[in-house]
Amino acid sequence: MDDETNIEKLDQEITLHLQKIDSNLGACFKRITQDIIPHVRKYSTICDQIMDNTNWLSVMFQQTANVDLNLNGSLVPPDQLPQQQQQQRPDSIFPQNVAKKRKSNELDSSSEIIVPKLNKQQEKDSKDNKRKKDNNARRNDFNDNDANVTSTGQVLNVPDSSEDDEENDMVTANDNADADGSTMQRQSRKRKVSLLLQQQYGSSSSVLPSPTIISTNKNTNLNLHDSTSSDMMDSSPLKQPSAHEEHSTKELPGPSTDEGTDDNVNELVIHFPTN
Amino acid sequence: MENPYEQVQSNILSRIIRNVERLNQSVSTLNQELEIINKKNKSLEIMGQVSENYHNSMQFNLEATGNKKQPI
Repeated sequence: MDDETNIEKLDQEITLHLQKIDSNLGACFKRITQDIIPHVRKYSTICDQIMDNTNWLSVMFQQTANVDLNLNGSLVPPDQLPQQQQQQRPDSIFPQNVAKKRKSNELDSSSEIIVPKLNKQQEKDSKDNKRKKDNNARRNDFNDNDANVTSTGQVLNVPDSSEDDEENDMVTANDNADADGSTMQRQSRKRKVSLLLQQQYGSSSSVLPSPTIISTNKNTNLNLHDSTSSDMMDSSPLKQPSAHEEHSTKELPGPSTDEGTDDNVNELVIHFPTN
Repeated sequence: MENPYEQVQSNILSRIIRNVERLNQSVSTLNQELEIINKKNKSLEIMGQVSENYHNSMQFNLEATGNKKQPI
């Protein structure tokens, strides 16, 4: 009899304990869902407001120190996750990565002269313009760029450049009255460039014989051209065979029937052999 | 019939199990919320450190230059 009463007592205590457990768990669940989570959400919104209000201060300190702070809270270094960078960029102006020193500001490099140049021009400018300041150097550079572009641009422009160089030499000769070292340097550069071009194009093809070769041809009595070098500009295939034909005609002046019989060295002679 | 308490106890156990499941779910959501807040607050903490350092440096500067004035 005592055992059964004890058993019933124990059973009742078991059920009571289980109910207490159940009630306690229910109470916890209710506290969490009804009180704690809303409170935490309010806290998060307030923290966001605080961060929005103080972001300007972070930006200011970053700018003063030239340092980019890791403000997003990610633990992964930026190199391993470029996606995060791309996602974070629209949020702030500066890259939000591990603290790193920025490169120098734009103001630091303004003291240097940044001029777009060709290679030859760079070499010449490095030699000549080390002493000069911004404006003078830029004038020289831009003017010489134009000249070099015309002279070093295309094959067809070479005789134009040669003419332009001659004209510029004439013009600069007049400007030498100013006695500026810059103009003398321009002249020297242009002459050098023209000589280089003549050497290049003179040795390359026979389409456009260089003025040096033309001058040598003058001495050899070929009578290929007159003062107008534009005839050679055209590089028409007819005239060069005519030049060759002139050779043949001059070696045999007698039997060939000539339309133009001027054999003077300084005049243009065109022979049309009709044999 | 022999075990009336067992039925009651089984019912109570089922309620306990249901409550525990809901409790676990709420705790997991709470944990997520707290992680988000923690991430956002790291930057805030950095700002706090920066401002504190600025305050300390300003105090030192004012004391060194002799410009520190008494509070009104």
